[in-house]
Amino acid sequence: MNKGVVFWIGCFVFLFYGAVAVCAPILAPYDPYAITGPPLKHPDSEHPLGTNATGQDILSQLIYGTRVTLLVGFCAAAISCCIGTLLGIETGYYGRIFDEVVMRIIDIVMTIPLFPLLLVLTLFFTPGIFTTAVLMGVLGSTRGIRVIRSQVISIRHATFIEGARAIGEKDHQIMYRHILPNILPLVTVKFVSSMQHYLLLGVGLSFLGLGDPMVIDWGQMIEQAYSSGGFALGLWWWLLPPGLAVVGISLALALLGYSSEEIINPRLLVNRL
Amino acid sequence: MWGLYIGRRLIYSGIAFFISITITFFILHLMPGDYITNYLLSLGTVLPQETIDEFHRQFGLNLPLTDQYLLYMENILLGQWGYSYQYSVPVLPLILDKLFWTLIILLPATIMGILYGMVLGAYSGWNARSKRDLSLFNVMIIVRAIPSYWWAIMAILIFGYSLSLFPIGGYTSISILYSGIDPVDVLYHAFLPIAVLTLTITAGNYYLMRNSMISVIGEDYITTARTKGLSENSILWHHALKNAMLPVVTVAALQCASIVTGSIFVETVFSWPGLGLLTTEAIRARDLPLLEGIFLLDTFVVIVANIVADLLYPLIDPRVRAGGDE
Amino acid sequence: MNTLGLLQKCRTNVPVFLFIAFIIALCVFSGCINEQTPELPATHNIAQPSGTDVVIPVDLPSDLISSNVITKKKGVPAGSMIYEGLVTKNRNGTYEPALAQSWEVSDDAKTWTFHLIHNATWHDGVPVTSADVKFTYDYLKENNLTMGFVLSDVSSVTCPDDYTAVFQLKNAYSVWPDRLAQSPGIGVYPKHFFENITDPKTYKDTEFIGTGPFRFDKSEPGYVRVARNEEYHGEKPEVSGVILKLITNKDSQVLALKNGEIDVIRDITPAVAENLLQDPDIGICIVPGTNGYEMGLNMNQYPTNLSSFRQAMSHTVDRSTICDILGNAHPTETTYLLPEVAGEYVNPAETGMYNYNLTMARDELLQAGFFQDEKGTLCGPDKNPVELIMPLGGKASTGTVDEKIVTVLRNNWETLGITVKIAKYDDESQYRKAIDKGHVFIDAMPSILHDDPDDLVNFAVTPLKNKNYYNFNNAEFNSLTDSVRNTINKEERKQIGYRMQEILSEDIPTVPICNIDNYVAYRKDRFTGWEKLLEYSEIDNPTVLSSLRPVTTS
Repeated sequence: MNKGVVFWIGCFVFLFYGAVAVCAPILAPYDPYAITGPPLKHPDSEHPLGTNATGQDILSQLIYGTRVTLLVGFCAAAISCCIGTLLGIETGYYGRIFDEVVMRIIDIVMTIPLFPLLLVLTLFFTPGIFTTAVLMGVLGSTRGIRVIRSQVISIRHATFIEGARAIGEKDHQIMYRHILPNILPLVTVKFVSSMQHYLLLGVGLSFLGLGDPMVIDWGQMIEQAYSSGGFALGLWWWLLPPGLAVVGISLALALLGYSSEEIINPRLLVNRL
Repeated sequence: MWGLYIGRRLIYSGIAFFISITITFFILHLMPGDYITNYLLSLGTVLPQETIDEFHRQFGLNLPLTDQYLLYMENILLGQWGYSYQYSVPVLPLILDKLFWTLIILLPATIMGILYGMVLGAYSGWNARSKRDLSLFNVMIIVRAIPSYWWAIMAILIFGYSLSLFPIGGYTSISILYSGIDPVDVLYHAFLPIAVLTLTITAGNYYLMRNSMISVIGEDYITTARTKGLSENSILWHHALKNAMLPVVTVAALQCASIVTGSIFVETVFSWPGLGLLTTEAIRARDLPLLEGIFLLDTFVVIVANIVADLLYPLIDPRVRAGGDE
Repeated sequence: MNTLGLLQKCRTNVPVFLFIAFIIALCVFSGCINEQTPELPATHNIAQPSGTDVVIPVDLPSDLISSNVITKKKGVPAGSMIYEGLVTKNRNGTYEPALAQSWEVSDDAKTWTFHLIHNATWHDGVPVTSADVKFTYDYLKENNLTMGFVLSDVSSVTCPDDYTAVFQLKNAYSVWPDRLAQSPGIGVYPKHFFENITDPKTYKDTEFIGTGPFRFDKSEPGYVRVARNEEYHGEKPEVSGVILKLITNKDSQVLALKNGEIDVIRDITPAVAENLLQDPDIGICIVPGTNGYEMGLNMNQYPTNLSSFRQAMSHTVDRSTICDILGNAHPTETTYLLPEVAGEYVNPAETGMYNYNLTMARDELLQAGFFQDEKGTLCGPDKNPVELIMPLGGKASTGTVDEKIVTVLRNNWETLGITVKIAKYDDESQYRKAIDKGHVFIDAMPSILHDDPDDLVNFAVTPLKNKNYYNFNNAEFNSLTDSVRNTINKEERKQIGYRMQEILSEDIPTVPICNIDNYVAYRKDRFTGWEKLLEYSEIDNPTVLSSLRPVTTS
């Protein structure tokens, strides 16, 4: 069926981006920070994508930008999923007061507008991509907790869990040896879609000028192209490549997420008479 | 039973609201950086300490944090939201004014987005796995994968710059100074931002509705309805749709609540100074009263939206009307 | 997965492929069109201002008129066209009359007497008298308004008659009018209007009664219009009014200029300026030396607290590469004052000593006890590697000029084996705090703060200012700062200033790097007279706007 090929396309593109990120020093023709030509040069043999307003090579920046962009998305998603899984399992399993308290806290935190809160919290720490990633992950984990929790609740009373309790297994063992493997598929799917979401959010933050100015990432490139002459002078070779790169990885992750979701959640398969 | 449920809900929301703005207050007041110092530094390199102290005294910033908090809560209960440091005007009218402009693009886009999303999602879900569904679904995946700022930049570049069909930004053209606000002119300027926002909101709702519809189709009562011999249309309208709408309604209510963050990217790209830009500028300038006001308003709207969603749910799904708190 | 299955799938996805292809085609299409920078259809969908209004863009909503003018700096920028002060100053350092036609100072530089012009009126017709001047001072002080600090040197104001105002200063200050004119400058506010307003901090002004060449007309979302003041006491503007238009994005401003929606734009990069010149209707005015950049050194932290280290570092600034990269910059070879604006106040003996010479730098480092180990890392006499912390932020960050400068500096320092740690601060007050803990910082100041020996107070420690960013504290320098304040005689001040610059070159708290020109683009087919910018720098300066003449289409 369709989803098999889709899955592999998504996988392939994702791994391609990953490879570019890892092999950046080999692939990039220049040091992305170094000034290697006159500013705002049109593409030519020396600089296939021209240079930016400072005179840095755009292609090298594009290649190196893969690292930060992927890293931020990955870290934020990892943190979000870890917290989500941990709290989801604990609250789903134990229930009662602990569950009530945690859920109420989450409800309250979710009433505070997320984006401005994120902007304000970044001010408390030294600017950097890890700060951004951690804050995004922590603030965004609230959605995941609910979903995982409801899944855990539905498994909690399954027979094999009762059996494990009967033979005297400790709570911790039950949670992490039995329940966790069962919800792992759900977690994986959430991880992939979270990664897409946080990657786009991270690029968006850089685009607004709120990312780490010391590292190069696509959001920053788009922002610079959009406000340092790229837009006014119609320098599409500066404006388009980072944007298309973002769309590419976002699409790949979306395809991965969608296809794995169908595999994991059989209820999405239609039952027709 | 009904009254008790609403009563409990309101009390609980009130407490949540109170705790929420307390947390917000402390976070905002612990932000590093100081408005008056920054302002004076922008005028020159001399920092007159008396002016800074006077400013702090006037706004109570020299008091202990807990005292400031109590003062703040007192003022809020009296309906005084304070004066913005940057603009020296009362906070609430300022926010509402900017909110008005944000809503001009956000409200139509949200309404259309939810509607289109629901309709397309229902259609897709109902015909799931068919060719029509799959092509629509694939298109929507692409739409959702492209971030809003990219759609905005492309829209401006293509329709504003290359084809010159639409203006490249701003609320209105200069005619506003000579002949007042012309709604057609505003609409003309708002067209692209609304289009971009609608696109992104539709994609999200489509996905949700489609999943919801697919789940509903698999339910037993649908199978039962079919075996009873009801027409497809009847099943779709009276059973499937109403049930599939439930999760979408909850999410839609919350979407309406994210007014502050909803359009920051679109506002930036289209030079449409609304609440998003007001917020980022207030953060940059450390304009505490304005920030407190924005967070307060947004929290309030979120809580109201949650209550509305909770109230709508039983109206749509009679099973829940019995009064359970799930 | 057989071929037939694949083909079937392709057919399903044909609409998708078409959609993607369509999007990519549009992108490439728009790209190709942009390559040729087309003539944009100027007016069919864009309304033109009526009459001969000049349209100027502003970047932020808070840059339009503040409704609380008296608490902010003349309610800039619209306010600066509406309100006037006693005197103004042009780029040559000459004070020019505004509401005061002449002034004199007592020998002890403590008493300043201003003679007001006789025919000035407020926008509502009431004549301007010295009572307004005294009222402004009293009102700011009584109500503890923020801008009151500009007049903090004043102990009292008296009015012997309707057109004379005498300011008595607490301490002698020979260049006090500078505070009134531009550092930061203050306006005169109407007594008959504000005396009835008991709470100026919360008062919402809708009338804006000033004395300037323009008066407030109206304010709409995203726009402010000021109209020509027909009863202006000075040279009446020829334009019918000025419109401030809010365009938040710089590139959108450039596009608006091309479209004809606005008439002028400032702070554009040389590359954009070059491109704009291709349009026959657009002209470029280069306002020279508007901002000076320097590399400040923190004398309280190791290793920049070592005079020998600072001496070596002063030879590591590659000004010619930096100026090449910035494109609109010129090297500054002095110790601090900019020759373009300070004129003969610059000590001719103290120029060129911070020349770029990496070999000399290396030698001086060796002499100071620093050496490079096997890996090439520079280590100090204590055998520890040298690491410099450099915060970025503040005014130098506008247009990322500091980042570009730092790219070049970093390259050179790395060849010397010095590691550099950089942190960027969005917030000015945090940035200033970080400077104290760092070693090096890039600072930028408008050139008007580099035009007089009095500006050297930047490096002093005085009772009013017990700290400076360089942590430079030299007793002789501090006492000279006092003398330069008290001395009125120009020649004497010059000599004092010379000695101060000598001290700076011995101790090197800072290494000036360059000063940049401001590129301004304007539409030639709308107004002429933009060359006045060369004397007054700012596009919203009322003198500049008053000297614009509409281009008559014959």
